[in-house]
Amino acid sequence: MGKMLDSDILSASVSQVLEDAAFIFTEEATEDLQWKDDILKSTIRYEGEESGTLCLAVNTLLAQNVAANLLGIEQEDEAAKSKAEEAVSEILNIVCGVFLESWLGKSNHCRMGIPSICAVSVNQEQEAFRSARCNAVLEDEEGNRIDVFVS
Amino acid sequence: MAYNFLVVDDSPIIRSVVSKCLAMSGLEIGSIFEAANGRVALDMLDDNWIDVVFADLNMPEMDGREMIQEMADNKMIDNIPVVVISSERNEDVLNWLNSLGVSDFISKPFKPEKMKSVVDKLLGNEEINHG
Repeated sequence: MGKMLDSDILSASVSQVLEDAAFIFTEEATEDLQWKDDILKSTIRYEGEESGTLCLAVNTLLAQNVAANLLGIEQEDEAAKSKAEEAVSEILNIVCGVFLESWLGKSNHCRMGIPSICAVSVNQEQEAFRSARCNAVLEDEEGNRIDVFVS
Repeated sequence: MAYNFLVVDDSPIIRSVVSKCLAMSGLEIGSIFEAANGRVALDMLDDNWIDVVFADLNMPEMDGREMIQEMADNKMIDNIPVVVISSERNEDVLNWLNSLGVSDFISKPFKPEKMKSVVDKLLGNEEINHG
């Protein structure tokens, strides 16, 4: 029988990866935290002993910050803007590996798919977040909202 | 002694992160070459002296597995260590990589210190502990 999935595993996985890979520090937040900018939602499928879709939603400001920190450039640089979507997808890819190991252990038999990303409205994001099997909200030091959930 | 590295990943961001980590690792770097897939990487291996290859698995055109297999079949480059960098970290993947003859595995996220320790181990630079 697998470990119980809970929001702490989700938030800890995102927090660890954002800190280690992109030098972005986060803390847990509540669902009433407002979105500050347009939303990008990245998703990745995992299949095996457990199957589902892991989703990470951030605003474009945070996405650009992630890209800038990964590339070692300023957030205002054009490359940070053009690479923002790819950066969020890469972060989710890493989060998924950490999440599956934290949840199911190192000997899990889950294979990960390829992450994809798209823009979503606040209403779309709220609906998907609230109907998820498990979810968590975090915020970065600038107060930008980060949603992570499993559907 | 300065080392030449080849970073193979279809994501320019990940190539940049790996190159940055290598530069920050304290290793003596000659050149860091980059390739977006296994096919381009094999061409670079033909034309350049490379000490260690860092490769992703999932890439378009030629993926990491095919590249590793072609390297193993080519006597000119079959002794170059290949380190796979991947987000997948379960035992199935590790066993599969071992069966391919991969030299080492680094799971994401990683730090410069990890890259240095892997390179030092592969190239025989580990400090001898006389304690």
